[in-house]
Amino acid sequence: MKKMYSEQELKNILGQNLPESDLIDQKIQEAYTMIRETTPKRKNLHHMRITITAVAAALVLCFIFCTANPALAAQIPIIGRIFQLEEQKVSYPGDYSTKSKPLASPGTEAAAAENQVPEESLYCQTSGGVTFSISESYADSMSLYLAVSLEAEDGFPQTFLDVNEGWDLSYQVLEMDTVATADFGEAAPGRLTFDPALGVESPFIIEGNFLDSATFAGIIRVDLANLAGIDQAGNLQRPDLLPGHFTYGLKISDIYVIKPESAAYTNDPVQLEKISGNWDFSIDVTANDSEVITKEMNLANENGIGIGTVRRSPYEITADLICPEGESAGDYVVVMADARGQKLESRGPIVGTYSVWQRDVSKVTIAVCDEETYMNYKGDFDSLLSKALFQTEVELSR
Amino acid sequence: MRTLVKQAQHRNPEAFIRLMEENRQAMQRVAFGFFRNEEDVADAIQDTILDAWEGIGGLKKPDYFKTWLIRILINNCNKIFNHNKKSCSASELPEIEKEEAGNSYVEFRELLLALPAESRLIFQLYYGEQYTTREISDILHMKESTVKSRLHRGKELLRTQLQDA
Repeated sequence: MKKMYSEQELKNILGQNLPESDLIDQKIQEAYTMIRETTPKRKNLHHMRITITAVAAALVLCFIFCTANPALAAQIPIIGRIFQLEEQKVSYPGDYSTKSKPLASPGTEAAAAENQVPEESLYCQTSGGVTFSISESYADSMSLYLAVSLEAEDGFPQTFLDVNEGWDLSYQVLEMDTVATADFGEAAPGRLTFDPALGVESPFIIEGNFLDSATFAGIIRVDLANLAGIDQAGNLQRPDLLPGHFTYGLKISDIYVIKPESAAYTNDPVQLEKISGNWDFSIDVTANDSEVITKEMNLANENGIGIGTVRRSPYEITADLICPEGESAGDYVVVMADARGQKLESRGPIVGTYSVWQRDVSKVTIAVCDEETYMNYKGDFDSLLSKALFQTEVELSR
Repeated sequence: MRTLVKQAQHRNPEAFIRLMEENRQAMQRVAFGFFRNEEDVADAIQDTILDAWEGIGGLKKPDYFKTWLIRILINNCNKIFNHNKKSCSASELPEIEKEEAGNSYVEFRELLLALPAESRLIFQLYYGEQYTTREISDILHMKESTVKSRLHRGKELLRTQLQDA
């Protein structure tokens, strides 16, 4: 120490870029390698567990053949096969194809049943040079899954096709601007609107894959367990129970991709490649709750922290948080482990909804942590559980 | 950065790695606030990268990504420090190779060494990473008044050392 430093000198010295270190660089690169190698294995785990039937194998061969022969691919409709193609690749995997129903406008049911390409209809609309089709759906009271395809008359822009280039994912992501509605008819809470402009989320991503330069097949997931929308009086409503049948409206105005290189190194608004249009769908939804288990736990510790209702479908599980009055639920995180004590993974980017697909969840450990503890110990699940504010086990087998 | 965080939350490894690269220098500087040797700094950063990858799906506020990351790093530094119980005094430090490191790096290390241990991390977060005392109090789970008093004490000690010299 040779001198007294000014405030600016302290900032300059302590904020400087440090010299390169081979050892530190080596350790960092090892971590990156683990992450890159782990990510495809995580996705491939779903592929490895698929029981390949002769029909599924034929579909795979057909898909490979058609990808190499786009002209032929154009002649073989993907309608009716999208769940089969994509359901194991997306971040919310499941076997929706075994439970889904085809969507058909009145008068086109026969064509839909035969997986024929539908003409312009309630579920197939063309705008902005893109034909957007919703061909299958599956719903329970926790989620709605829609099988969708997008076909661009003149092919998709190269930026769409390249956006996930080099990323080792089994799916690609298209983003969309939407406004959604749920109309329960005469049943409460009536009609709800989900509009980001009103501060309420609506579906914003499609996970799937480009089958060729002009065709994208994917799955939209709509969270029903945490449905919160604006009613006709302008109030925010969170229905505790959904009627088994309702009409889901999905209006899409823009479909776009984000250029990662522009987002990474600039504070300017992200540059978007966008396809604008007006696709306005009205989907009849019947929630199949035959496999949904609901348990009313309503347990809390002496500090008023605990869990209320636990819901489990064949694909996901949620637990309602109980926190002290006046406190924000956002200050707490619910975490879960399966019957073997292994952490359950988030259902894609959704916090608080965990995937149970192909996991033993006959018994589930559910814990509540404060947000800071969760962030600090997320990588060490055993330590996280040991620091939980509340913990319990629930049996969920029928 | 917000978009990269969202993409990383979608389990995009390349977006996540870009985030790490953007914050790599900050992680190095903070970790050197704990440790004198590169091995521990390297281990802490590696653990932090892997923990962050595991936990990024649970980050509710993407705008606070860097603060969240630094919290994980500090936690890992504490774990390694407690595990190793390494707290070498200045006399145990390897000689800094001035020709290799450069005088500014030497000054970085000497400045940190001159500070009391309780002030070192706070100095790094305040001056090096430009966090406010309020943010530092959140990161380190201590009262803002404690952060301020340790900053003040660190500066007083630096001044005293200069006078003694």
